[in-house]
Amino acid sequence: MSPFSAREAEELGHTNVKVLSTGIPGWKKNKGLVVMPANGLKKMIHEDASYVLVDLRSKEAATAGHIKGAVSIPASELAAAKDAFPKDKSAPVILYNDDQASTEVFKLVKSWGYKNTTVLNGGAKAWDGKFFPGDPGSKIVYVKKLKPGTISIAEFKQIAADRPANIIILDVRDAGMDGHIPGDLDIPQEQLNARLGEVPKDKEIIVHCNTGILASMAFDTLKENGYNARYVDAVVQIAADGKLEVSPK
Amino acid sequence: MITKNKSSLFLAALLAVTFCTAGAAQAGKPNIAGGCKKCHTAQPDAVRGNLGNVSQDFNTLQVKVGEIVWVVNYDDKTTVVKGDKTLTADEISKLPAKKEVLVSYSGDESKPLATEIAVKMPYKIPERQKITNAEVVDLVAMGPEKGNYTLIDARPTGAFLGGHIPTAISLPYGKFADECTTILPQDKDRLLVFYCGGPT
Repeated sequence: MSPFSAREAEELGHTNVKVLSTGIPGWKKNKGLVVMPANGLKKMIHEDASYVLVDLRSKEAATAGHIKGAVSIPASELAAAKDAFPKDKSAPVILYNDDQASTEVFKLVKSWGYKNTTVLNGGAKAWDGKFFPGDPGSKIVYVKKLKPGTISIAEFKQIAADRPANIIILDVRDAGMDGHIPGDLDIPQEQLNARLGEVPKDKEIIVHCNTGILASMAFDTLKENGYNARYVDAVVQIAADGKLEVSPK
Repeated sequence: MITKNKSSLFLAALLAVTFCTAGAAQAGKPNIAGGCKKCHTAQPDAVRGNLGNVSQDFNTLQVKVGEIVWVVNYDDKTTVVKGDKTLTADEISKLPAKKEVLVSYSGDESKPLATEIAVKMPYKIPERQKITNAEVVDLVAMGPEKGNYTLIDARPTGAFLGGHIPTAISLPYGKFADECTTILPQDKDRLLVFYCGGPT
């Protein structure tokens, strides 16, 4: 998009217009500092998103008032806290100090593989949101939240392999698909309303299709009718011999 | 709440009729991503969007078109076109994630087989507009005042809110016409540096 913006700026009469063609990917690759604007963090807090927010100030300062969801790890103790960070390296990690957190701490956390690390723009001094009193503790709890109603790929694969008796896998793809998960229930999404009687009410229903679209619609139908259900929001492929591949979209 | 549920159900039903029912290929599911529409129009028997997961077990590739994902089969006759080079299907698994692609296919859209995957080539930036990452590092170290520059993030607002280059301000390309007068500096000779989610 930036070349188009640049072209339009020149058309408006700007005479000294440049394009950093390597963009944000190039910036990150060169270990450039990435800052999180206050509004970005406020949005994450508001949406109750999953994040790791680290207050690098002293314990006293963090206890006097910290940003929602923060843990307290003073900058001098950060290197020793490596193992407290989540296994999931895609977790967004946001660091803040009094002033804007330093490039050194940013690079340290990045070097551990957390590719979505940022520092709060301007640090605590520039934060115009709320501060909460009390000891935030130093234990990082990070659980990636799923879209409401969805099941994780890992759990779905496990269920497909184990096929526990209290769970029904419902395949809502159109009829005539090559492979199926053994023991599943097949009802094309467009017929689901008419054939609800075939779906047991006393079991959890896990719905899948090819790409998550039909499954989400079937999930809505099941919910409307009082079922305990979740759906797979991923690409599901099943070979004629039953080999299953589930990949994120 | 009831009204909302009804309308979402209606929408779901509409979606189902529009692009999810087998044999309704003529109704067509979306085959061009929003971002591509600035320069391209939809083509028959082709899908334009961002490359998703490639499965070598199933010989399929995902093409994301907004919220919709296409799963397209490929075989050893599928070609990969990069500019003036035509490569074999072996290249598919080497393409970077999210790469913009135009996938031409044969067969019905419910079971498409890719005939050709054309990969978007970098946009040619005029020589006068080029600036390197190292030069931007130096500018950022000085700051906008001393460096006498305005750094502009052209990505959508959501991307900017997820993290940006220090000292950048947000002017999404999609809002350029509406917001350029308030965001761009009055001084037309001041250095403007644009970046986005490139490489472009």
